[in-house]
Amino acid sequence: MMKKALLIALCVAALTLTGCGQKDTPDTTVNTVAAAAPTQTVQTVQIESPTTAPAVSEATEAPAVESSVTEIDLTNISSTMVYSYVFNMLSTPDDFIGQRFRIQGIYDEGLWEPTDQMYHYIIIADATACCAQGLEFVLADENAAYPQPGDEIEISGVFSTYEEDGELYVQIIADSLKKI
Amino acid sequence: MQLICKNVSLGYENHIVSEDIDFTVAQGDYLCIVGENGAGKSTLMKALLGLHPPLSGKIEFSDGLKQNEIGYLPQQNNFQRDFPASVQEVVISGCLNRCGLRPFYRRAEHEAARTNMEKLGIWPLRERCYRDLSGGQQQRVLLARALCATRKLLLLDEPVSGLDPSATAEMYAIIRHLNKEEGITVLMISHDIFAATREADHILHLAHRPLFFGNTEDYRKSDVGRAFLRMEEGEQV
Amino acid sequence: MSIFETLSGYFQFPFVRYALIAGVLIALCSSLLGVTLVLKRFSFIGDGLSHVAFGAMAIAAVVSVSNDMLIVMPVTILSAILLLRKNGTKNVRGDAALAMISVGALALGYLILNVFSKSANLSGDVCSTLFGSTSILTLKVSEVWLCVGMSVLVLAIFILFYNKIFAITFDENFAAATGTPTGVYDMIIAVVTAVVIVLAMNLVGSLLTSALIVFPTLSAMRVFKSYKRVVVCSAALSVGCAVFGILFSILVSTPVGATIVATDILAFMIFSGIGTFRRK
Repeated sequence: MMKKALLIALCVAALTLTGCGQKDTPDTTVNTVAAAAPTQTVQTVQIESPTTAPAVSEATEAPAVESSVTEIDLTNISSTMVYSYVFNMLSTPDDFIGQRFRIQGIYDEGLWEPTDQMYHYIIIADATACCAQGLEFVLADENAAYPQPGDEIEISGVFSTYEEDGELYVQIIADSLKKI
Repeated sequence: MQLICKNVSLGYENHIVSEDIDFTVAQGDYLCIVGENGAGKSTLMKALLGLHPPLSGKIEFSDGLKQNEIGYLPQQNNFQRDFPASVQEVVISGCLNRCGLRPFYRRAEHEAARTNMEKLGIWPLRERCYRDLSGGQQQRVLLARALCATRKLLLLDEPVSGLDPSATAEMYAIIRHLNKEEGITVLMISHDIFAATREADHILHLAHRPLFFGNTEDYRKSDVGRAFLRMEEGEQV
Repeated sequence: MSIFETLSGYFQFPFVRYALIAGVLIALCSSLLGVTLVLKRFSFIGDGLSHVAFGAMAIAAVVSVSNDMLIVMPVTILSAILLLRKNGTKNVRGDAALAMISVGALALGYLILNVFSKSANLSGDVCSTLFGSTSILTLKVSEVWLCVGMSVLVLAIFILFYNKIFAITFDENFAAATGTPTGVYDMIIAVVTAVVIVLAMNLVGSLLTSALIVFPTLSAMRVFKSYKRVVVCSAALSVGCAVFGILFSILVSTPVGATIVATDILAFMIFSGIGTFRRK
């Protein structure tokens, strides 16, 4: 029994030390790229997510929240929480429509042949950078410039869904973007 | 007659270990089962308990004795010895056969456990951990458990193996008391032929075919008995 | 912001509440099961079965069933019954068979996933299933309900059959001799083991479920001497470590599964220390 315990202890120690990938150390110098659209001053508040108790089915009514007043700030909570929160946003999008968020992540973009359009993403990784999720976003100001793929960015925008070719997609309509 | 074995043969798969076993046990008897290693003593015990059916023959219980009302004292295996359980918990687990599907023990069962623990002098040890006890004490705990399972018949598999001389003497004394004063039928497997002939009033000497069944007096006078006693004596010298 | 404020902020998020509910229930069931498995010398069953569950999950992912539990549960339950048949691992061949099945399921599962899966992030999925970095925080409501349901069932079984499970764990031969249908109870324990392991995969991942089953019991056994106290301590310890592990990992961003196991190890060392100190 003791040998087994020791073996497990060693394995777990090895795992927590090496991890699945490298943790991205955020750039401490902040480079604010002036976004074309004026940023509204918003009250940053942690409010209760619209999902109710488990007795109710997953598709609850969309919250009647003024999207310009309160914002859920996902930039100052742990990366485990952010990852989980974004996962929930992607699994049950109806609960979050109209909600304003502030999120940090890595910018990436890709051209999708069938629609010949460029799609923009903010990539959010979990604590060990082992798993990552991409959240699509568009800048509210159509003329604003998008950053370079690989840049660390922070966006603030409203969560919404749209239909394309009969499929439902989620996206954030970002009215502010800054490089960090 | 409490127990009747007629024409029983024991073995595994198709290999016969022992056959033509015929014997009977009456209420209050003290039967010792002896024989060389591999003669089938443990197999017979398992058959009596219903753990391993005989290859052929009949085992009958009567006189109010049911097969699941036999108190069994098995040989201890190692993992029992370091099991975290209090003496109280071990002893009362013998009452399980009275519970049926009931999840908890009633007062009657707690009383029975207490009585048996007092009888064997282990009531003061009831909160102690089983694994912290000496070999002799552990055997007494298991005997108390066996008594909880029965009021009529005890089956003991090498009850003194691994015990020091004083614990051994104590154990035999307790068993003798249970048999003589309380009238409990005792079936004991033993390697110690001297103890067997001293304590028991009937002997069953097993081999591939039973070599002897009858009372101890006759055994001592029989050829088989004398040869075995002399042989064991020779080994001991 | 103090830790307390941060945590109460986090509690507003439903998935944190779900994680704690599911985590507590899974930890409770694993520790109760662990007492039986450890004392019957079947600790490695946890390992073997969790690998089989991983393999089944790989197949379920490839076959794209609506709910992968439909494949994973039956397969794991069946394997549990086959492996836990009386004296299943007590001979050399039984032991080797367990090793073969265990590692075979792991390898084949990974192979199937690599060849057939359409997942975008394969290594992430595998990593999450094996080590449970965030799986407990990404449970769907239906999964939480499943967890609650199964846990209530497992708890009911442990309470109703407490005395019989004790008897079978302490001395199966005696129990059988006095008329307890040990075959039936062995089967119940096998099924419960399978269910708990599949649920525990969500909390700590496939590779670490063994730890969740084994450590609380071993820690409790270092200090306590009666079966009842070992069971109670093991359950309390397991739940405590799980809650601590989940909260710690969301505050500090460590993988949830490994954090819980690390907490269990810490508890084991503390209890060992207490045990040794007491004996002196």
